[in-house]
Amino acid sequence: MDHKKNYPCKYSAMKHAQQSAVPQTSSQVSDSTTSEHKIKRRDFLVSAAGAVTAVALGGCGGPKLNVDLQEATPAQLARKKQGRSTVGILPCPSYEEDIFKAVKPFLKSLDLPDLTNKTVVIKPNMVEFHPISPITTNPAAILAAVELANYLGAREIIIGEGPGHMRDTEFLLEASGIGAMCKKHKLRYVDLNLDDLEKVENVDGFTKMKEIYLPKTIMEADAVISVPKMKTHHWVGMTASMKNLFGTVPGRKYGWPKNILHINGIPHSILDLVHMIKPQIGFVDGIIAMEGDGPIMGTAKPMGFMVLGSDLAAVDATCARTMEIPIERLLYLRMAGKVIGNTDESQIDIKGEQIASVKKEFEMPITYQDKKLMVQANKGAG
Amino acid sequence: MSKPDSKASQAPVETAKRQVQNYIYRYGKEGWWPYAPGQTASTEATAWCALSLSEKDPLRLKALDYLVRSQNQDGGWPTGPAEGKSDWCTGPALFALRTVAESHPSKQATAAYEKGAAFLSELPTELYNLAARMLLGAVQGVKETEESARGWPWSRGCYHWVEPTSYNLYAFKIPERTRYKGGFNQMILRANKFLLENTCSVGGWNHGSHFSLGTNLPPYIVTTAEALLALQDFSDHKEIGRAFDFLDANSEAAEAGQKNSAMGLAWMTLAYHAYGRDTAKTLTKLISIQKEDGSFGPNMMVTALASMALNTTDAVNPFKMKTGNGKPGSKTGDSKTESDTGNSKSHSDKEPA
Repeated sequence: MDHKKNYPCKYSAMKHAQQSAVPQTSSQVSDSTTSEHKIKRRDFLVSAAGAVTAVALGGCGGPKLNVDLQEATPAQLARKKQGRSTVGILPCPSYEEDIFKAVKPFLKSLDLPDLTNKTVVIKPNMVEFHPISPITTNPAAILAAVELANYLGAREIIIGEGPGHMRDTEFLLEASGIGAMCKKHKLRYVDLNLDDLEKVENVDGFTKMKEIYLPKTIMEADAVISVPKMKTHHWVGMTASMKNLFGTVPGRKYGWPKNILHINGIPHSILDLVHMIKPQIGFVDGIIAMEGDGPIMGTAKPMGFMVLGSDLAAVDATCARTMEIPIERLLYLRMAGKVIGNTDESQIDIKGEQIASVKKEFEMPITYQDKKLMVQANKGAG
Repeated sequence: MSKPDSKASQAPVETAKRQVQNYIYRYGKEGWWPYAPGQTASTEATAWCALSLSEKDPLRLKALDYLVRSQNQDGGWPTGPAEGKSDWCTGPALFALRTVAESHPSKQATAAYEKGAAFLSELPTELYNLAARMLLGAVQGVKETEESARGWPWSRGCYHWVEPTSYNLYAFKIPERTRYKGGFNQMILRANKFLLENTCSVGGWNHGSHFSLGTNLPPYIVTTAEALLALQDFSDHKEIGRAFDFLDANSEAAEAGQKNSAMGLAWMTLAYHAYGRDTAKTLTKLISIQKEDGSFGPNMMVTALASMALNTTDAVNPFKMKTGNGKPGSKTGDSKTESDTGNSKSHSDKEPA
C-alpha cells in the first residue's frame, strides 16, 4: 500500500507553512522596503511564527506509522505462541512449475494444523494492479495454497480478499489472473470489502479501536491462510503474511484505502488483526518478490521460493532474513516476537533451503534509507 | 447522451436496460438492496439502486423511506443498518435521498437531508488542531488557512480522499447547488480545491494524492470519472480536459483492462454523458459484458451504475448537474463564481462564470 499518498495535503500544507515564513518573490520584498528595520523585524516575526507553527504542526497528532508502540502488557504478552516454530523455505524456481508438488515433500516436517472438515479462507494480496509490477500474489501461488488446504483436509475453500486501493474488484480479478484461476478451478471468491459484517471486540489491543467490523466470511471461517506477496514496504519496511491481513478489513465500512488502520498505527493494527483473526498458516509468495519502493511502485526481485509455516511471526521473520532486512528495523515484527510468535532465529527450525543459501539483499524503499523522510512519515507528514 | 448521439444499437440497449431493471427489482422489493444477493442491506447499494429506477417508480419511494428510517441520530448513515457509526456511505445516501425527494417531496425527507448535510459539514478532514490552525493563520493568513484544500475522509478523523469527497459533492451540487440552510459554500469551495489540486501528472485522479516520495502516481479510471462528475461546474478548467484525455486514451487502448470492467465503463459513461460527450464506445462495451441474469457482476452497486449508464440513452443521468444550457459549468444558469475553487489564479485557465 502506498501510504505516502495518504497524506497529500498535510504534507503540502506543512511545506506551505514553512515556505510562507519567508518572502516568496522579489515583489513581496520590494512591497515592504520603506524601512530596512521594519523588513527585518517583520521577517523575524514571520519566521518565528513559522518555526513555532512547524513545531506545533509536528506535534498536532497524526497517524502512528512506526512510532509509539508501547511495551506490551502482560495480557498481550500472554498471547505469544509457546515453544519452537518451524518454517519452510521451499524452492520453486518459477510459476510455471507445479508449486504444490515442489512443497509437498516438506509438509510433514512443518507442523501444520489439521484442517479436516474445516472451512478455510485463503487470503491473497490483490491490493492494486500495474502490468509491470509484481504487486499481487501470483495465481499459481494461490492455487498451491488451495491444494495445500485440500491436502490438510479442508471441507470448503474460499478465496477472500478486500483490495486496499481500488474499488474495482472485477478489474483486479481479471487483470491479476486471479479471477480466471478461480473460475477454472471452480473456487468461490468473496469480496471481503463488501461482505456482511461482524462487530469484533478488540480486547487488549495495541490500537485504540475497541471494536472493529470484520467480514463474516473471515470470522465464520475455521481457518485463514494468509498468502501474500513478499515485498518491501515504504512505511513499515516489509510486508508478508501479517501485514497482508489489512486486506480483510472491509472497505464498505472503512473505505479504500482502509485509512483508519494508518491513523491508528500500522504496526498496532497489524498486531491487533493477527490477534483478532488468528490466521493458522502463512504461505508467502517469494518466487518473484518486490524490492525498492514497495508495496506498489517497487520492482521485481526473483527469489525462487515459497515460505510456509503456522507461526506467522516466524514466517515473516524468516522472510525478512532472506531479504536481509534486520528484524530490529521492523518495529511490528519486533513486537510480534513478543506477543505473537517466534522471531528469534534460535527458536525457528528452518526446513528446505537454508537462509544463508537463498538470502539476497533487497533494495529498500526511500523512506527506509532516508531518515528524514521516515521521521516525516512517522509524524504523518509525508 | 441522448438516443441520437449514441451509436450503440438501440435494440440491444433496450434489451439490456429491461434485463438489468428486472435484476435490480428482483433483489430490492423491500426498498433496500444488498451488495450481493443473499446479503443484508447496504446503504450504498440502496442509494445507487434507488437512483437507477425511473422517477415515477413506486420502489423509489420505498427506497426513500428506507433511507430516512436508516439514518443515524447524528444525521449520517452507516454502511448498513445498526453497523456502527456513520461513515462515508452518508454521501451516496444523501445524494440519493435528495434526488429521489425531488419527485417525492416530504417534510421527513427535507429534515433528513438537512440533518445529513449538517453531519457532512462537520466531517471534512481537519489536519491540524485549533492551536496549530491559529498559528498557521498567523503565518499564511486567516483567509488562506480557512480556504485551504480539504476534502472528506472515509471515516471520521481520517485523511481526505478523492472518492468520498466526490460522493459528498454530489449531495451538495447535483442537480444544483443545495439551497438548504447551512452555508456550505466554503466547504464546497475547499472540496473543489482539494480535487483540482490533486490531479495526476498525466491528468485524472489517483484515489488520494498525485505524487508520492518522488514518484508520480497513476490515475485510475473509476476515481477520475467520479471526480469529473463532482466537478461539472468547472467544465472549462484545464484539469477537466486532461482528465478526459486520460479516459479517452483508456477507452481506446485495449490493453488497459480496467475499461472492460463494468464499474469502469459505467462511471466513464456517466461522466461522458454528463459533459455531453459521446458514450457510444463505452456503452457498447458495457452491454457486451452484461451477464445472462441481467446483472453486471456480483456487486449490486456496479449493476445499478451500469443501469444508470444505460439510461443515459434516454437522456436520464442522475449525476448530471443542471447548468442551464446543457453544458456543465456554462455561464447560463450556473451561479458559481471563481471563488468556488478558492484560488482563481493558480488552478484555472478559465474560471466558470
